[in-house]
Amino acid sequence: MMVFIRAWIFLILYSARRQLRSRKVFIAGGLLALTAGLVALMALRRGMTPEFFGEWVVVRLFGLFIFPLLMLIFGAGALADDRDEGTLVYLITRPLARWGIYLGKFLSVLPAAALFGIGGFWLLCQAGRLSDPEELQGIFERFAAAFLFAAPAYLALFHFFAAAFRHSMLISVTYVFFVEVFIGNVPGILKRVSIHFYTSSMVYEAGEAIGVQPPSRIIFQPLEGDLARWVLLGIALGFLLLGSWWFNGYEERERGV
Amino acid sequence: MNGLPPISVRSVSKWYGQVIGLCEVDLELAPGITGLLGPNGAGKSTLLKLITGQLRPSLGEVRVFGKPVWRSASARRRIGFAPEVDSFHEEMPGLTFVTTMARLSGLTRRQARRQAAEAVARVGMSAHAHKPMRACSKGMRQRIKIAQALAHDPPVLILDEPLAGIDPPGRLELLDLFRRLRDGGKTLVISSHILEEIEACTEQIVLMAQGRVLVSGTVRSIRDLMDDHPLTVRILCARGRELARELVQLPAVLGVSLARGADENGGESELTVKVHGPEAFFRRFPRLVLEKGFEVKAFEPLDASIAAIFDYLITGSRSRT
Repeated sequence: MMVFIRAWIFLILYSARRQLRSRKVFIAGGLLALTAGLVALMALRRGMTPEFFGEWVVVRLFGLFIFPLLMLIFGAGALADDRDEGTLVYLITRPLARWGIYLGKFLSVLPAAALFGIGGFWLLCQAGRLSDPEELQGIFERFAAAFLFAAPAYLALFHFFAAAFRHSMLISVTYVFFVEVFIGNVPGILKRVSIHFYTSSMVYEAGEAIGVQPPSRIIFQPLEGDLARWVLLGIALGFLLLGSWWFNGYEERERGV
Repeated sequence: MNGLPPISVRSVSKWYGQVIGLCEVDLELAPGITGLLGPNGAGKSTLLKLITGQLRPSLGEVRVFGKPVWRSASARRRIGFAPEVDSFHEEMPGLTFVTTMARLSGLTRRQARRQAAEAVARVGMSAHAHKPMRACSKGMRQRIKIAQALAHDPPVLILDEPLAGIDPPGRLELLDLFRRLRDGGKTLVISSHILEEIEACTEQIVLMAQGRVLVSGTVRSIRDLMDDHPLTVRILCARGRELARELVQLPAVLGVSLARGADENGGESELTVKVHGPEAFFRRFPRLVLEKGFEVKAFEPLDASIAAIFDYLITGSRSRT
């Protein structure tokens, strides 16, 4: 048993190291640098109120677009990189259960995702405070929990796509732009299929005291923060279980077979 | 390991949708080297993937030391696999790659470092161990692939086309390594479509075509199975015409041709004898030579190589289906 646990822990550590040394780090870093630059420019030119920062930077720019993309960059590649490189064969012929490989690969992306997702949000908060540090005092602490809960949900979803589909990156990008950006913003109940809806619900609840509100409560109909948190946890756990079950039956076939 | 066969394949079939990859294969492989032969598309890779637990059998079961390899991680720990695909973590040096694979097999850091260095040395890659994989030649990459299969010291080694891309001196080195591993009690399954490679390191072969095992056993036993396969024998001797006359009297002989006649000058003749039922012929021929006092300078079957057997079996398989 010790042998298998040792192999599994090594899988997590070595995969995490590879994530942090990959090209993705530069892509994610570049994306964050651009976004932080944009926020800093806005802060310096027109100032930054908590309401504006909450709605336009936290909910729309970061929550709707940048954060899902960051999670996609790391979540979709954990398994897909090995499959695309053709090195997955070396993992599945080792004494590791397939569900263990799946779970291990998920855990291995958490450090990079946390660094760029939560760290990136901290960077944006600092950029927003450039004009008046007092105005956005405590803004990171107020909203960070929403992204802390959203990160595993996005990662588990993109990780599942990577296990289930050969062209998972394409499907994940389509998901971000179609489901998160488009369906996540249509009026009515349909938007509840997007993860962003639950992240936003948490952000709006946390921001209520400083005036961060959805443009129209009737149209947006946010959930209570607690419920949104549980839904995000449920999404993460659900996709992890589904993916583990799916990958347990994974067969390494010839390309094209 | 408790007398259990290292590899046992029981009534295994594998379908890819409507396509049959493998059809009702039964095999039990003992320690030693087994050559898996067959043309491209014969089902060799599918069989190896089933043995290494990459594929789940559609029917039947594959066991390694008694444990079903698809479900059992401990069964997979007893296997070292060198795949045919030329894929690596390209940025890693060869030794690091082998160490990483050893650690993924559950070895401690110290064990993995020591055993990986030993494995790299065994495949003759010590001098290039720190070269990134992307800078390695095809032959070097092939050796690293074999080293990562050896590193955790498994009792079963599955090597898919291990000699592809290796230069002739390198082949001899690796064939020697395979023999040493066999002598150390390991079970090796080596697939190839190049017959000479397999013939050079083992007598035990499994011939595959069209997803089926055509025949398995030693080259000799396979030959024995083929009594209806005509064999051609070249004989160099004096009194060739006389020997030819005697030979055509034998029931096992289909025909004799005198390729080079030098009897008139008291020299040697070359006879080409077509034989049906080689076993009977090989029993009768020495007696004939002794009884009649022929002086045979050379006697060699012309098509007893695996290539000839293989061609024959493949042709037979095609005509049967």
